[in-house]
Amino acid sequence: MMLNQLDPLLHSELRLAVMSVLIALEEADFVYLQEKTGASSGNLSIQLDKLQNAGYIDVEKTYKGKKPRTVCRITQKGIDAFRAYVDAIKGYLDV
Amino acid sequence: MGKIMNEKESLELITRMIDNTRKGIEKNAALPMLIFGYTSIVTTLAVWFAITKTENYMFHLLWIAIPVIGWLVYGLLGWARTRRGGVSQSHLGSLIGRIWIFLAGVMMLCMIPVFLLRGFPAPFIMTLLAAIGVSCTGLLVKYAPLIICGILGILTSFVLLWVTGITSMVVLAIAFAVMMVLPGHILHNAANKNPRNDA
Repeated sequence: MMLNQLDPLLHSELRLAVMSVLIALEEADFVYLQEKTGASSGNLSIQLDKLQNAGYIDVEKTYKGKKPRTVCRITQKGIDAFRAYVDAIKGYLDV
Repeated sequence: MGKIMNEKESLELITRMIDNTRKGIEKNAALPMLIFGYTSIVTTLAVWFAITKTENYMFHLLWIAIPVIGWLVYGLLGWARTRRGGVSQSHLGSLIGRIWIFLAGVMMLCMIPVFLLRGFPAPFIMTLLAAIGVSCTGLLVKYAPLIICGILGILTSFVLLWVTGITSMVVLAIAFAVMMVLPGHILHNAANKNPRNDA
């Protein structure tokens, strides 16, 4: 059964994986998210942009030494959306 | 990772990712305990050995090796980790870090009276502070071996009120092994059991 009523932004494997990692953390950088999700750089960048545009995450581009570093943090809006998504899924599964 | 999932797959993915992240946090919590635990044991035995052999109490200055070597090794490992892979910071990790920095500051402050006051119960206070740190870490990460080892450390600290003199150094080394190294290895091994836990 497909879940049309669920938040379509979170109902995608990679975006949901990113949000599941960030919900447990204060912050995580791009490399960490890539390691955890196993996604390619290009795909992860696109999905992070979508989450950022929705206001679900904050993305900060900094430098560590001479290397660029992208740090991601979940926002309150993202936390609320994630909770609503989990509650909806639990409702479907009756758990 | 671009497919649309059904509800069961979604819940499994969420559970797996959160579990992996949590295991990574536990593994990170084990590292400072192992580094500072082993550094404390080696330093304690070095102080005990040096004073036993020379009866020169200035060797108490070696205690400074615990924060210096501990933070140096911890910093170097952290630096190596950021070069190898990604970095994350958990809310819990930040809180635990702040607790340990505070306790380390109090411990360093407690080193001063050792040189000024005869009979100052430094081993008791140091052990008690470290054991409180271990117990608090255990309570925050909800990990029973840490809580138990912390409580054992608190009990051992009171033994140090009666075991005085240079012999107390041996008890102190045992206390560090029980309350820091032992739970550190248990935590590290538990986090390593799942091959996906590579944070």
